[in-house]
Amino acid sequence: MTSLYQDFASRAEALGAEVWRVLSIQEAAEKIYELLVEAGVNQVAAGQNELPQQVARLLNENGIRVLSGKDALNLAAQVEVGITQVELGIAELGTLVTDGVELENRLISMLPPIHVALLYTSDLVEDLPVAFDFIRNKFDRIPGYLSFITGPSRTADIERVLTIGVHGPGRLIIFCIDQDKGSGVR
Amino acid sequence: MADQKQFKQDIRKALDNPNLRGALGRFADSYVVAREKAYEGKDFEGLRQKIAQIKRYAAENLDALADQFEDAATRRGAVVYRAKDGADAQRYIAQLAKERGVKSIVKSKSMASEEIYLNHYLEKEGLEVVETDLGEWIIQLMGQKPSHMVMPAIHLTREQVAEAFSRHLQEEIPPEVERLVKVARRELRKKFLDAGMGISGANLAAADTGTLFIVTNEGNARLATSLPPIHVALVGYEKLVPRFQDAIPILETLPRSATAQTITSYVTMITGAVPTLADGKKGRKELHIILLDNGRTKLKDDPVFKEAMQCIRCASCLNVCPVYQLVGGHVYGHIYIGGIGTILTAFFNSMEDADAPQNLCIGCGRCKEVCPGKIDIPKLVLELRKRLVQKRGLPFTQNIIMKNFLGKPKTMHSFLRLASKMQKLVTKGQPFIRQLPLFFTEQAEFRSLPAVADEPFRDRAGAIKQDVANPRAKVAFYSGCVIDFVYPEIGEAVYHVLNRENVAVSFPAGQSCCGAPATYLGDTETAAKLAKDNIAALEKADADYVVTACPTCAHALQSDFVELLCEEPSWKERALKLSAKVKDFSQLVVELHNGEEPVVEGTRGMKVTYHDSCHFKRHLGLEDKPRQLLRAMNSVELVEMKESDRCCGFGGSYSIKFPEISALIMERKIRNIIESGAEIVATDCPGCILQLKGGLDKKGSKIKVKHTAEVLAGR
Repeated sequence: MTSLYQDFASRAEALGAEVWRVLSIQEAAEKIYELLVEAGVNQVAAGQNELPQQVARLLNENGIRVLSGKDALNLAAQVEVGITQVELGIAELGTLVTDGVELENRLISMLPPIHVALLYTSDLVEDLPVAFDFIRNKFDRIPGYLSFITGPSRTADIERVLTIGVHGPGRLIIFCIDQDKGSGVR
Repeated sequence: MADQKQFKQDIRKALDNPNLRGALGRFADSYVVAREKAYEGKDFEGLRQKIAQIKRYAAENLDALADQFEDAATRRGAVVYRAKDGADAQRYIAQLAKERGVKSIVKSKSMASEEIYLNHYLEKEGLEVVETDLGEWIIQLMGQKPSHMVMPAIHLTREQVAEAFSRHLQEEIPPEVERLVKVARRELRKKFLDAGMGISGANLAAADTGTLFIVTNEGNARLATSLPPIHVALVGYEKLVPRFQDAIPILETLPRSATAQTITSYVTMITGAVPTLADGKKGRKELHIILLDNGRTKLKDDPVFKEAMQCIRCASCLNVCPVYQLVGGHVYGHIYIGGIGTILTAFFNSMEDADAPQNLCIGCGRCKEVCPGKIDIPKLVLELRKRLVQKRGLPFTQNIIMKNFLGKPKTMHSFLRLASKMQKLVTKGQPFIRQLPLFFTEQAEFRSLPAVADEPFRDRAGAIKQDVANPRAKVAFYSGCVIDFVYPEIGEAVYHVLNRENVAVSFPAGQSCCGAPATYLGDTETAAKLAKDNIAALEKADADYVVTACPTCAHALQSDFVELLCEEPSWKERALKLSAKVKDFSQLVVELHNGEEPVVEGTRGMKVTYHDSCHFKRHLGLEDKPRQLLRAMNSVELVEMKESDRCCGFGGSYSIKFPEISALIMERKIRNIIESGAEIVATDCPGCILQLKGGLDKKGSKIKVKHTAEVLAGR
């Protein structure tokens, strides 16, 4: 597990993502709070899955306004940060795999300039073929909208000068959470 | 040929454009290194073998796969429309937009949409169409066409972009790249949110699951396929693959080959209709997938060109093309760009549109080496050229030269003998023609032309003293025109070295030009005639091998003859017999030499560098043989030059068709040779020798150019 994480983190960081490894959701929430304060943000959108919702609760307790559900959907283009849970991380590429069928999840991972992605460290897999197997096996049928996300958005269309942050987020912050699934906040 | 003069002017304009040359040049240089790094640890050969298999199967089962895809996608809520041509697709989209009250459309990149001039049509129908891929939006604002299939605005400077943005937005925008990108994000974000329809392409379509794969970096495809309530995907039939997991090798090569990335920022997989936001309410997005034919059926049914269906649109062929690097996509293309682009153009647009650009392929073969689809692009371009000649004939001058000169060996030989006498007027006794009068001026401008030899090799061969008492082998020497009439000393060196190896050499009378110039101009008629002449002449020789010292001739004797005569069974038989006997000179010497003492000739420690001729390396695959021989020589210090396998710019008739391009390709090679510090550059191709001698002479360089045979012979 360690070397999978190391591969994943180094590849993702090389491509401009910020990667953190934490022991618990609590720790993730604390770190996210710090980053929000640093960025001067006090309103975020969070997806409906377990991890973002748990983080949301903790952020709320610290005075951060968190939009979910219908609010997240309608204000996705206005918030600075979107927090979502992803299914998988591909170590070889530093890539996140996320089921984007749920519209809130999809829009808050695309529209805000900062995307915070949460995943369980145990959901890291080696490479593309394994990830594809996972997709075929985990879901009864392929989710209607599946995204592979690697680093923030980028372009080199003008004079081949690399610029980070185009139509998608300019910052991708990934948290790998060591906690076992379903064990809740300690 | 349509508008030659305009085409030549376009080439000149491109070559004289410092922005274009700078951008393309810098890119090409960094690409090779970056690509290698991206493929570290990956088995490129294995991957492209897989991809070729998948795509070949797909092309052969296209209709069944399309049916399967339609079925799978429909079951997931998509509407699939099979458009037979561009007009069909245009009408469908426009009608859909009208029926749904769509006013504004956002587009993410789709080459297929450019192919069918979709934007133009939709705008005529009163719809606003906004490109959202940054490069595409820029050229849309400037009313230009893309100059590269993956980086459409690569030819523009930030100043030009800033000017276009400033004009469009009526505000002063400074030429800082980061700022320009922020402006694009801001402006296009509004369009995404307001649009009634999003149009995208797709890089792949999996038939078993009905899934579309879209590979991007900017995030615009995600927005274009998520925000508007209607998504239309325009997908050429060639994107179909049988299974979902067939995407894996393609996803492992497309980013690495296109932009030297291990993966792009986003890979989006869409299967059927998903939730969307319409008028503030969640609803189901309408997904319309248009499968576009527009010539793809014709392409996959063509016995030769079906190979082009293996293309994954990575544009790595462009990235390594020495010609593209100089002239860019506006000259070397028509919507689809480069070598493969001309094939696609011929089928999706028209043969006429492909005519001018296909001529620009110099046939160096670099593209073939890097193509993830394992497509033999130079072979396809040559086939296209052949068909064009069959259709419209050769250009006047070329026709005269082929029919009345090259195709009539006796006439050609007499002319050349006469020329060797008459040329004193322009050679002034030198071995070079440094200036030519009138409209021939361009030919001798960038490189000195060689003088015709005073006595061709065919007249000398019989008089050569061969001291081979008990020959271990008997070979027939096929010289080819350049050695025969320009560098007979190479023939003499070949004899010398082979005699030393205890091999007796004969020169079969009746041999003439191998016909390669005709082949490369697309004149298969003349080439076939010369093939027959040479087969007849060479089969008379009592020899174990037919030896050549020119890779173009070797390839002609070994492969082209068989292909040219494949419709005449008895001639094909004879061509095959000859083919089996053909051996390249360096290859033969290595075989004869196996394990024996190195050759010691000449003065100690000559610095020699080696130039890999395109045909020698990429047609014959023999590049290590001459190096083995040179390394074995005590008197030679072999130093490698940078980019030793980069084309010298000769390309046979190419340097006569496009001297301006040939000159610039050669310049880089000459630079590399000089930088290597060598006193001698050795190679195994007389054509390269002609080019390099001429180029170095023009530079006033003392560096000598020799055939490997001459170095081995100590000459």
